[in-house]
Amino acid sequence: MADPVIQLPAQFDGQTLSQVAAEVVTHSKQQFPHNLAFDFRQLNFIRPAGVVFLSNLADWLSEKETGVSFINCDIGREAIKYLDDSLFFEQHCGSKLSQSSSPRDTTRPLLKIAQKDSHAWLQANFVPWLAARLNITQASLYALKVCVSELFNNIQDHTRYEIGCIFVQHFPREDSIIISVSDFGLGIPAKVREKISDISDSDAIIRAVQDGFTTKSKPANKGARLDYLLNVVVLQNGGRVYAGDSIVKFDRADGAVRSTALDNAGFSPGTTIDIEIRTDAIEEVPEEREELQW
Amino acid sequence: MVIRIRDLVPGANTSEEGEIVFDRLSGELSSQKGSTIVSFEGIQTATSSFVNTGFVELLTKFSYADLKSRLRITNSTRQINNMIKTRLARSSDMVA
Repeated sequence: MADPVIQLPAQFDGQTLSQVAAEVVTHSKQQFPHNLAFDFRQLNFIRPAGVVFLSNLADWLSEKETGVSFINCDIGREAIKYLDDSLFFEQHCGSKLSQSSSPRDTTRPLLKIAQKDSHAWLQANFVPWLAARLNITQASLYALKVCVSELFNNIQDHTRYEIGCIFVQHFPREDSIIISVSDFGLGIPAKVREKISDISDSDAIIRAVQDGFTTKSKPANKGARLDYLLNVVVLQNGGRVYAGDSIVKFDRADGAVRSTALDNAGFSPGTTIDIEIRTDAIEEVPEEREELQW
Repeated sequence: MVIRIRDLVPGANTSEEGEIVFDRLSGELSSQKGSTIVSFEGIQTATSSFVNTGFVELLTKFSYADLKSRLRITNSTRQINNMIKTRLARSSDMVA
């Protein structure tokens, strides 16, 4: 039988992630194929979530001992150049498609990083880079930094891999930043179903972000991490969070967090979370140290 | 007595770091009746994992009012202070 070829859609973002994953699963029902190719011929637009999701999917297949290849990667097309500048091909093929490709000033390129190293990277790399881009104090970004730290702590507690994948892009003309983080774990819905068996994917995600809800994989979790993320990104900043590979969107409506189930449910090897921050709504915080006032 | 978090752990990022801080704070608060100064000098942020294990667990041994009157958090940042205040207040509500 011929090796399966997965056609990437023209637009590879939150809406089409699970469609691609579902097609991969179709070819893996009996057993994982020896080889599988992703065809980039139609791709003309890819968002950060697509970059980390595709990276995660390729790594997941490799772990199942499926040889992954990428075909019709024409560096002359903008979406392919964007992926090459994001270091996607360097990470998955061992080298860039073009020697002239390099990370763009507007991005923190694709990075696979262990939870234990993630906090130092966020403090020494992510925060100074973003503060310089936005011309604001580093202290203004501490709450956002902790949101990402919380996601890496979730990876440590809920998966056996301890590795997360992160990609960040600043969109200056849209006054926004998108941070995409993915892991290789069981996925939020499956993790919640260990505690509540009869619950849909979207309801499981909505349940998982409530303060106090925890799957108790470790006693100290207390279910506060995703709640903190929504407070900082959605309530305080007016940004958006897409959780579980765009199964649920969280945004702000009437001063509260609104959750919307999207029609994207499907297979996913792990969890991808997209954080969209409004740069024009980040509160400027002085660098000065302070004493806690109870 | 001043407890400098940086002398105990490299950062305030994980529950493992919080457990070390909990042991030190719990011992200090149990051994005397006065105030304890906790300095976050050199640390910029604290996660909920760290605060839950390092500070919220103190509610199993001390009341919220007791902690507020005896713990003085200094050389900190707004993010760290907000995380400690929010987590302790919410958890004390759950205990009550």
